[in-house]
Amino acid sequence: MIETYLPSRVYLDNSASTKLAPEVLAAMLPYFTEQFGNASSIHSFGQQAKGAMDEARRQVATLIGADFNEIVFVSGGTEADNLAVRGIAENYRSKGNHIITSEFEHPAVRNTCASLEKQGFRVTYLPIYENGLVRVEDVKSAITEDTILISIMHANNEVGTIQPIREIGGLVKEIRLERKHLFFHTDAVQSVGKTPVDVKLLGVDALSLSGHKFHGPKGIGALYLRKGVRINPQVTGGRHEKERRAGTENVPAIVGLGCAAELAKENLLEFQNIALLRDYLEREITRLIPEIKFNGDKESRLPNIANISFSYIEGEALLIALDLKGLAVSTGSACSSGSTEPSPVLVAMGLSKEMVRGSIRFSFSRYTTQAEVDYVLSVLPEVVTRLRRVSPLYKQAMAIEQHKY
Amino acid sequence: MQYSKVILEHLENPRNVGEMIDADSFAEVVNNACGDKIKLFIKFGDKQIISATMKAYGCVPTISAASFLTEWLKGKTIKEAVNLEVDELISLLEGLPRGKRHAADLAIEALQRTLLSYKP
Repeated sequence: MIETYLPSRVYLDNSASTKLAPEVLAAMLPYFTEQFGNASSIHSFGQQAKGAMDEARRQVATLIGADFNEIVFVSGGTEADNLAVRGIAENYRSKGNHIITSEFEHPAVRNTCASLEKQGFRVTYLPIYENGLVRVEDVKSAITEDTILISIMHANNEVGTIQPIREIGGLVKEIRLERKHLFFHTDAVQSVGKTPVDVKLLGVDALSLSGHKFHGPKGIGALYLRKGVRINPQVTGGRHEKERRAGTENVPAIVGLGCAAELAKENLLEFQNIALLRDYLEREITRLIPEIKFNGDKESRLPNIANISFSYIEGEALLIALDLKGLAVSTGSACSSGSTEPSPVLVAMGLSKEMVRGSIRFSFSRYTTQAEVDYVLSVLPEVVTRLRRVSPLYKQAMAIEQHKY
Repeated sequence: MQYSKVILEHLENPRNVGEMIDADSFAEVVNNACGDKIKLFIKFGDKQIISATMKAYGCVPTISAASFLTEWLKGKTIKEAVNLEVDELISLLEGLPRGKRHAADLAIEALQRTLLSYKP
């Protein structure tokens, strides 16, 4: 059914965070009030909490095709990445000190690798190509006798490109027939809940996910750690999470994550419709606005992200102008203190400075409606035209708009 | 980023946009670090500035500061224009967020250069 109302506020920044599903909130609430026990306690309050946590662990494991004991609850995607990368590197240091990652990882992986470099690890940063993808052959040729860890993100957070994780996973398995200590981690924070993710099919040894990216709460995530892979815990203390992550478990958030995981699994097919909506947005923008560029591979990408560069204008100005119309998006351009820090992802993809600055990411969720997309299409052309009219880079407009006083 | 009402209003309704073909003076300034750019055009009368137009590329306050300036300049004497300082412009814009002072710096640089290149 086509909705006819015009929404007053439209949120298309779901790669940054999503709204909590009402079912998730309802599931969490009792664990703040009546069922507040510590999951480590052996009385009924504690056991209720433990039971709820077990259920959530099962729900998360089911979403990604993992076993119950392979899920470690952590505070979010960043901690999951830290625990995987640092935890594996430190634990297997005696077997080698080489790590392979890519130029376009999330800072949670990139900066963790940079910090490991300072501790003496050697890190290879693989390039990504214009289409926003790494090449399996680059991974293959980077592997040495000394390599213990490969960390490549599943889907990129800015352009949504889905990396050839399955192929890399296959390669790692092949090499592991001869060299036991080579592990493969993927940051799947953007892909879980939006596209099918199965750890066994992907062939990964570790995988990070985060609750608030698929309508769960903030401050909770999980690391999948394949049975038999050992890590150095990064938070030490009690024997929680099978000694992989100490600290009293955040039971309400864990329950929320579990519920969000179950809903995500139930609604995964919805994303086919989301892809249609996204494609509709792209098609209409192409029709309505000249001189734009779509960033990232068109085939291998998430169904919910469109990343578009608008020539002659700057992302922050476009973002704020759209925000004034009630539309929330994000940009790859962050200008502060007089120096622009362009998106390393778009730079790595070989975009010109100006196209990086003019990039906008629209990211959908399963709650996004046709009416909302139509609203975007009703405001975007006017805002782009206004900013281009002001821009000294827009020669075409300059010619027609010369003033005489 | 929290911008003042003045800045947001100028972003929504930029004033005096365009190149003035019969300008008495003109300057183009670029912030090399971030790529922001302002072009400013001024037409002078006997004692006062008659009009100013601009083109601006960059983040929100760069566009708004340039737009604001074109309006503010109208009717000002050269002396008044020369004496406009960065901090005064910032307060006329009702403040700038942290890290955005460069936008006002660039607008004042555009103004100074335009005034300097004026040969009556």
